[in-house]
Amino acid sequence: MADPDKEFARLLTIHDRELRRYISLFVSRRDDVEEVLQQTAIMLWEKFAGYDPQREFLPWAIRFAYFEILNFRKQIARRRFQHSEETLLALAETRDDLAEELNRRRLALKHCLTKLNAHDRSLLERRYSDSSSVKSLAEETGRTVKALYRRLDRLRQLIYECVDSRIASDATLE
Amino acid sequence: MPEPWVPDPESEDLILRRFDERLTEAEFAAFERRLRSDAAFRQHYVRMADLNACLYDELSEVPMRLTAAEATSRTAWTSRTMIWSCLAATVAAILVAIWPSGSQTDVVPVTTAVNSGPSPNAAPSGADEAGTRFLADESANAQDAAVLVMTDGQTAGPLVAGFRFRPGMLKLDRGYMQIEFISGAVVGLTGPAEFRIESSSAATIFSGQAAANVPERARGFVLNTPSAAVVDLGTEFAVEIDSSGNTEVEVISGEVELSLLGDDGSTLLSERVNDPRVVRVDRDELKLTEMGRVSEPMSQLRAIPETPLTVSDKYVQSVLDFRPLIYWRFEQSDQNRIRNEVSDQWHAIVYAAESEPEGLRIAEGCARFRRTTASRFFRTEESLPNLNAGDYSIELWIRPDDLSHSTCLGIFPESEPDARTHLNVIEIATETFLIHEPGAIRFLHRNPPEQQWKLGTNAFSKGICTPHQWQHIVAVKQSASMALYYNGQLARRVDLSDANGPGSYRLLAGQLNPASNWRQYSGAMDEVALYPMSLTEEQVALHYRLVVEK
Repeated sequence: MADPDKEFARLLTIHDRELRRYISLFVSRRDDVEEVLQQTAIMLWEKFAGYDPQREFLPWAIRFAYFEILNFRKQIARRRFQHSEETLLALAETRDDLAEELNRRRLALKHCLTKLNAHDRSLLERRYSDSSSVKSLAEETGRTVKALYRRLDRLRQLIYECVDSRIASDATLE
Repeated sequence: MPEPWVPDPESEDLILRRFDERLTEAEFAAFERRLRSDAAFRQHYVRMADLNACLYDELSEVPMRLTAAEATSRTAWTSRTMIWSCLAATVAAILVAIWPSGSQTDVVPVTTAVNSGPSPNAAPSGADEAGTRFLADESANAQDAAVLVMTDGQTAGPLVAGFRFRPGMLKLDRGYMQIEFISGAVVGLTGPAEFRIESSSAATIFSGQAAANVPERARGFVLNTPSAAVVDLGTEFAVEIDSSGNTEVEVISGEVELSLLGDDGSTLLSERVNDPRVVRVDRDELKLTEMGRVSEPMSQLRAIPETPLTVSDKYVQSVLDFRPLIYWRFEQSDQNRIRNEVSDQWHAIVYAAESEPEGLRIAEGCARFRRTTASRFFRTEESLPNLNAGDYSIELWIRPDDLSHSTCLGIFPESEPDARTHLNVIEIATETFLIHEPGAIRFLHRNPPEQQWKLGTNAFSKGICTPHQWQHIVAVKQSASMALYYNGQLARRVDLSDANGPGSYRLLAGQLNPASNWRQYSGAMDEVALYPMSLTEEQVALHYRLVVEK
């Protein structure tokens, strides 16, 4: 490898979204996800000398991300609503089994998002893009928090249904 | 294939509320138990949770609008880079090397003149004698963001079709350039103009005129001006900057979100502008003014001539000398059957919907594909027995219309007539979860395809292939390796194990498989040959030279 520093950063920039996506499966709060991602990046850098460039970077990186998820769980052990290690392992195995399908679903998602009308898309963008709290969004839009959650839930369900339908229609594909 | 999920509103509600941390302690305990004990529930949760994570990504992808000051900054500005820049304090040693604060690179005149496709390693900067120049940012990890697809001949030097742009500043003294961004947006620039390429989905025009066409897949493309930001919502529009720095935007078709920016770069006024309207952004008076529409659009993209591939007798003879099994030249007028020039076997049958005949035409000595709602492709009806028992090579020339993810050619087992799995795929790879540069050529080998459908070995070319230019692709499979050649040069060789296998195979061109219009290739294809041997590096280079050096 000509320049490990540059190569590491290049690989990390390419794969940071996939790593974040993986971590999100186990860690629900967005700021926690970022924390685990940063710890993972540091760990990867420390271990990068042992990385075999002939192999894919992402599977190698995901192994360390999983260890960081377990570490993070210990750090926040006093918080409520923590998954057990047994559950995390079951989720990790299920996620591995579904990896191929999940990637297809992501491509389908891109298509389904184009079907949203501007108003609904804007609402989701506020919620997901700038992490506006539902409370502040509700105040802005003049709705109750409950009504806004209902709308968000409905939109997400519609998106999931669209993705399911798209995947089913592509079932004959490779 | 997802396992069928039995609709269960209670479970869905539980999962959705988990995403927003709305569960009570008792509900969470029940949720946790189900995750452990109920595999179907767990699978459904993983699918939903993954989509929820993807929503953060997808809905954060609209690039930031830039102020003029930010746009001229040398610093990479994407949010992802900014996130990693925050790591600098922790991983300082790495980032010093990655995000240097140095100045822009010097202009390095480069004298490559490539008429039939780009060099695999195009120069980051370039200039011509007239003063048209491109200054790439000095950024170690910058990737190609766009490719020059056409000029009107008024520029010279390296700034010819095929030149790859990384983020940087383009100064066009005169004439016209058409640039395709990796996101799919196409911008036509009329000089004199100053234009900055920010990323694969954003640019800034400081002076001059630009027209943009943004297909659905590039929705969200941003064109900034000194006083405004135009976020494209799937449309064609034109922008002109006058001498005072004010902006006029003409929406030719579709809709844009037009913002008048304040000094801090944030939106002061915004408006959805539909076609056919012209709006002036007046930054001194802080207003958006409806203008009268002139009869001619202020600037328009130009149609790019479809030049045929000129092939000499010497090239044809050289192909024949290597004794191919299949040689499709597309010279016949029959629209239903493509003649194999070297055998009575393996003619290709054309499939195209009567309602959309433009999807695939054999004309002017090549196959011409366009995207349609219906399937259209050509394939062999007879199988190739034991193709993968030894070495073989696939050679073809393509002239793609764009950088969309598309399958040019695939080889699939006879046992799977619907081509669900492939032994080989040759495609333009843009939307994959594999690691490669977007817009690269992909050669996939998978053995045995029926059992190994989740696996596969890939060889990718470096960099973007060039829309509207003929490009030479050769994929060579050997017992212990596979190689991809691009424009006469070895792009990648990858070791293989257990590469050979029995079975009979068929070829299909133009899309991934016959059942749907997924990954349709749009563009021209010519001189397709399949050899029962591995072409050498010299033989591949010879074929490229015989076409390029006419």
